[in-house]
Amino acid sequence: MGRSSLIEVCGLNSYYHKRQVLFDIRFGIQDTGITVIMGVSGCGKTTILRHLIGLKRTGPGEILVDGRDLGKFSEREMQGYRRRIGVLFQSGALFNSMTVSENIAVPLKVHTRLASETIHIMALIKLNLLGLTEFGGYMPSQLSGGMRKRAGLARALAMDPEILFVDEPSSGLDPITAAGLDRLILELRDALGMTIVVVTHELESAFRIADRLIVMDRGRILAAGSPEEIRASHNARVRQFLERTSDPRGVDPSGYLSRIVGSETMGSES
Amino acid sequence: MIRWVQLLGALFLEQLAFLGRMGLFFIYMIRGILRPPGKFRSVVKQIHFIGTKSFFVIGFTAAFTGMVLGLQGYYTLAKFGSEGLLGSGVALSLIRELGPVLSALMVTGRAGSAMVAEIGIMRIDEQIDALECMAIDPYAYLISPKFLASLVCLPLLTAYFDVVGIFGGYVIGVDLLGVSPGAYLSGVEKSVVWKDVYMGIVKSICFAVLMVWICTYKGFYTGVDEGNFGPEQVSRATTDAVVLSSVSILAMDYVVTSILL
Amino acid sequence: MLLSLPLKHSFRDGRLLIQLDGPVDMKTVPEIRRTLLGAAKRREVKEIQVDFSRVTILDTSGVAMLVEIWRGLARKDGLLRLNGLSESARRLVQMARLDRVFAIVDDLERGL
Repeated sequence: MGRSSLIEVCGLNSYYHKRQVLFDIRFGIQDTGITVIMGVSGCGKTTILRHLIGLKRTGPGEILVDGRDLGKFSEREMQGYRRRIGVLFQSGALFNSMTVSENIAVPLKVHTRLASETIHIMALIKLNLLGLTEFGGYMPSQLSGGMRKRAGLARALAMDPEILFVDEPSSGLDPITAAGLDRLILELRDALGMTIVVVTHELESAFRIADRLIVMDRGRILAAGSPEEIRASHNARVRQFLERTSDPRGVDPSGYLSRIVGSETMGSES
Repeated sequence: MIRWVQLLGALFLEQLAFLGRMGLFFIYMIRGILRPPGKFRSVVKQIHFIGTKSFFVIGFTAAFTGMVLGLQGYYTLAKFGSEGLLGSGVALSLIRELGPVLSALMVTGRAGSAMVAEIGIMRIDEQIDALECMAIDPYAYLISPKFLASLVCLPLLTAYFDVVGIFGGYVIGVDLLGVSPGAYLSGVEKSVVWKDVYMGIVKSICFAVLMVWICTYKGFYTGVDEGNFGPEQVSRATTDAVVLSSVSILAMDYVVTSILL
Repeated sequence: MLLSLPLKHSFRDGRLLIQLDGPVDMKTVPEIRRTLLGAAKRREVKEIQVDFSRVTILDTSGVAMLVEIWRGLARKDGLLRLNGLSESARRLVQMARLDRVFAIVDDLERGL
């Protein structure tokens, strides 16, 4: 592709309570552009995200950031890395005891020596960016789900991060609000040249915003490429995921019928 | 047979892991005191949260405890003709035992449970993850201020408890049961020595450490072991924390008393 | 006439032209802000033009600082001009919807 990889995942394996959830994951996150990791719930995409932001560090394999393995970062190096990234969690993860503006100001107050007035203006700029100008003084509990996410995004952007990670942007949102959030993410890429990594299970959203798609299934990468490449894929499981059909072999994979009827006699379903 | 050994072994290892994790938590909690962000504002806020809001509860409990002590004490002492010692009896019981222990239990029930719930809810809502990803030490930001505030609040609340309790005993003993006010108050003055007050202070500090350590730990690790981050985990953590804190406080009471006596 | 400021500047007829150098970000802004706000407060200063041609990075804190200077000048009907903004710096100011508020000029004022 010719672009430099900001983050390179090399053969990552991961376990939750002794169960393996990721198998030999390999991909790179390019500088500038939106990479979308998509798959059904439970395929391991959120686990990959947690590894990328340093919340999960076990499991053989490496994640190279500027050539060094994230899993081996000292606390100092991890703090340095985390100051360059912003994370939007699924629910927004706003701190309940403070207003939206105060939420955005938290990293600025802790990490910089900027004056309160400067920080206040920075918060306003971010609020405006997310269409929340009048809501700075609101408490998180007074906001709708969509607004909470946008507020969470404003806070994730407070320190002008190089890389933005977004966990399930559309979850809990109606299609219109979700599309609005997608538009915002695209704007961030275009106007600020940001590198953005999105984890989602929503097909439309993924194809709407992705420069690069990584399709996952049961802990493995099924396919990776541009949206056009993925759409044209001949891989049966990828097609199944895209077309949202039941198992292509037409056989009842979970054994539902044999359980309910008590025998294997029902056979093929298509 | 083997299965029993395995179960026992697993249980033992589990408890060991628990103790280890609690130990590490304690270290991080202390380490967080010296790390950014600045503590002053947040400690003051926590003192309000833990201390001022417990004011009424403590006052109430102290008043009734003092009154009961006055009542019970009078009738017991009357059997030996020693009603005049009521002041000493009430004061010493409160300052050495009931003040620190009951204050700690009340604060655990009120502020301790609130701590567990607050931190637990933050845990299940990924707010603690958010702090970590913003390169903010969650211990320094959330836990250490509560620790420092508890160390300030609990001894003060205990002192307040003692005063109100002694007064409660006075009201019952003198106004109701006819003990002479002079006898009551001079009894207090004569029998309470620095060693008693010292014991009360040491106890309240130990109890403060136990309460905040256990409650913030339980809140912080809500749902982490089960992998299930829902509201039931928060309520379970709250109950567990209050029970564990209360029992630990009572056990620690015995230990400190036997060491200091 | 030169005011005593730690940054490279020139001052003539009430207009202060200041040249910033290097990064204007969260680390450097507190210092720069102090200097510029101090200058904006002075009675002799009617206009400030900030030259960004040697600025390597501009982030949101820099933009916020410019807002504060603008406010300080607006109080006495003064003017804030910016020149020499890089492409990304200009985009940042645009994203904050402040490209209409600040007077962005493209020619470098002679004098330094």
